[in-house]
Amino acid sequence: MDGAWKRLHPAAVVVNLVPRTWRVVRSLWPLALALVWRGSLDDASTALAGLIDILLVSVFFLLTVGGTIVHWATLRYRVRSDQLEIQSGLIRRQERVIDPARIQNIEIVQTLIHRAVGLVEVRIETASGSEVEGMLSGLTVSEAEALRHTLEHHRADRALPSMGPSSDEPPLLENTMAELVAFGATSGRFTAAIAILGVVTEAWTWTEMASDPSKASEVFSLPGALQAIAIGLAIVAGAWLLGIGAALVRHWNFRLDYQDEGLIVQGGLTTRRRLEIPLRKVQIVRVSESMVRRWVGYGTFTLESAAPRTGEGGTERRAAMAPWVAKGQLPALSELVIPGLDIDPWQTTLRLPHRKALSRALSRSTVQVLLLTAVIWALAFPYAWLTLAAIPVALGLAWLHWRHQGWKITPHVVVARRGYFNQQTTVVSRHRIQSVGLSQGIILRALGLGRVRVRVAGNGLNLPLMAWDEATEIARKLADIRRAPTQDTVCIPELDEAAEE
Amino acid sequence: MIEHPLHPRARLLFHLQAMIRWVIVGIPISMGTIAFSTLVIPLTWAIAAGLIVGGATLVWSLWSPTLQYQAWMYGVSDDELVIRHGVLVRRMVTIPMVRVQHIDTIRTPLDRVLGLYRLYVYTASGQGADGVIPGLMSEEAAELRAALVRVSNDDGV
Repeated sequence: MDGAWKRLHPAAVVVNLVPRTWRVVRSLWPLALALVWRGSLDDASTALAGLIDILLVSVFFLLTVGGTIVHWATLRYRVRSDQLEIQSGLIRRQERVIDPARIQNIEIVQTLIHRAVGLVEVRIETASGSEVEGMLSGLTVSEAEALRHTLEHHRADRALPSMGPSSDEPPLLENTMAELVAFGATSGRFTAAIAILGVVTEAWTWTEMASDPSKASEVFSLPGALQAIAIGLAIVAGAWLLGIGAALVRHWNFRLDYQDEGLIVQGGLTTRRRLEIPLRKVQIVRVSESMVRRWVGYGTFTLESAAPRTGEGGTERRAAMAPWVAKGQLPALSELVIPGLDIDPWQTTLRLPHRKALSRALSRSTVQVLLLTAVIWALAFPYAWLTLAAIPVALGLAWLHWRHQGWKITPHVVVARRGYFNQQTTVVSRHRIQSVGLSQGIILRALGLGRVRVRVAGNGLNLPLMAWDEATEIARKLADIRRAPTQDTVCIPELDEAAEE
Repeated sequence: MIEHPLHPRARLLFHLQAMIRWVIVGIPISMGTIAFSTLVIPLTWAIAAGLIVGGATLVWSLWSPTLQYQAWMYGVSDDELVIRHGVLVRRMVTIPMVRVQHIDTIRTPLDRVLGLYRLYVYTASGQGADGVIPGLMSEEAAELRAALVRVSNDDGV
């Protein structure tokens, strides 16, 4: 294959037509809206206008079809002198050269349309730009594998995982249907639905009572209350089922493999994905354990390379996610993707945020409730003072939020945790740090506290509030990455344990 | 590490910027205050309120550039670049030298009038410029730029 130009499969025209049409419609939505609106005006004088509309639509459609055909006819790719070259375009000719060593991840996606004609879409991402750098939609499976094989052969180092149908080795992790249902059932969507529901019913109850105080008794009477509860339950159940369904569709047959220093994530019911990330490209690891997940002892494991962003064609994509991982497996999995992880983020006692952050959180939530009360009272709602009952709740929540934050810096990693209802633990390797930013507003200055954000390529992590002096010291130490040819020999100065209490 | 203040001319830059901001934002806000206050209080009081708002923002615009200038500080060592600034919100950023990807030198019209340069320092974090240093003289900017791009190594991506 070396040197010879290759093309997309002829059926790619059909496969690409749908997403391309969708993209055109999306970018021209004001026009489409205008057409629909004009069409709804039932008037004899619009007969000619209707004809023009039809003409307009067909012109755009023909242009899209033409564009798709031109794209298919002009797109060529080859691997030559260790570089992947992609050419496309008729009028605006584009030639792109990608160095295999720079590839952050390779994703192979198969939507329903792809599957119908037996093709796949290969997305090759580097760390640059906001789009997929190498988009080859419409290769046969064998072509895709050949491309993968060649890229592997030409790359400078051995970091790209090899292709081939997942080897005989057992997968690192698999999720059964029941586990995916559990994942969907405990996803944030459910919690969000409850929260929204709470606010809605609350507001509804109050407006009912405000419009006619005598109605208050009516609302609290059995039929009214029952009705409200029924509607509420329906909303919650609907959102919940939707969450479960989405989880099943997205992660169907989930499987995580480890091959040649890379992770391979596969799954999906309608659109099948196969994402491969070389381990040395992993930038950040995030584990989210909602309250229910913590109770049953599971968490969701996400890792990002430097190219985690919205894919072309409107399909949102997280880097790589393992939906349902047993708590016992989390440390081992983290250690696999962050070589040199020198602590178990779940066993180690993390440092709490500064004490003064607690008083800040408590006074802040009190002020928020008071403001809310004032607003409700100003709007002349009766029983506005009842809102004051929310103060203890708000204080409790603030304490929970404070108590469940934590951070730790070791010679190799930075760990940060936050959240009680949805606990998130983030780990980055200190080798990956790009810059460290500190900030301190007026209130934080009065308290002598500071905020630290550690940036890695593509994302970052926030540490809980800490003393400003300590924050500046940490910022200097984290940024002190000595010049070194490879990351293996990067010398990281130790943070003295004494500073960590 | 030696921390450098900005060139004294940067103070002038901050003053001009503050004045422009006051004309664009401060004056309309005080006008707006008058317009809205007339709805609830008599016209004379409304005008007084507007004048107070306008005066307060003017005082802040005259005073803050000095604070801003004093707060700006940058330091370069062999290993890292440190930038501190900010009056109301104090900020500091540290960038390991090996992580510097590229530097933009930008001159706004105001910079050109004053003969100043500003540097935007980018890393691979991909979240905009990690560090900005305004108010540099030509030689200073050239020196700093040279120091920052001299180190080119492991980008951690």
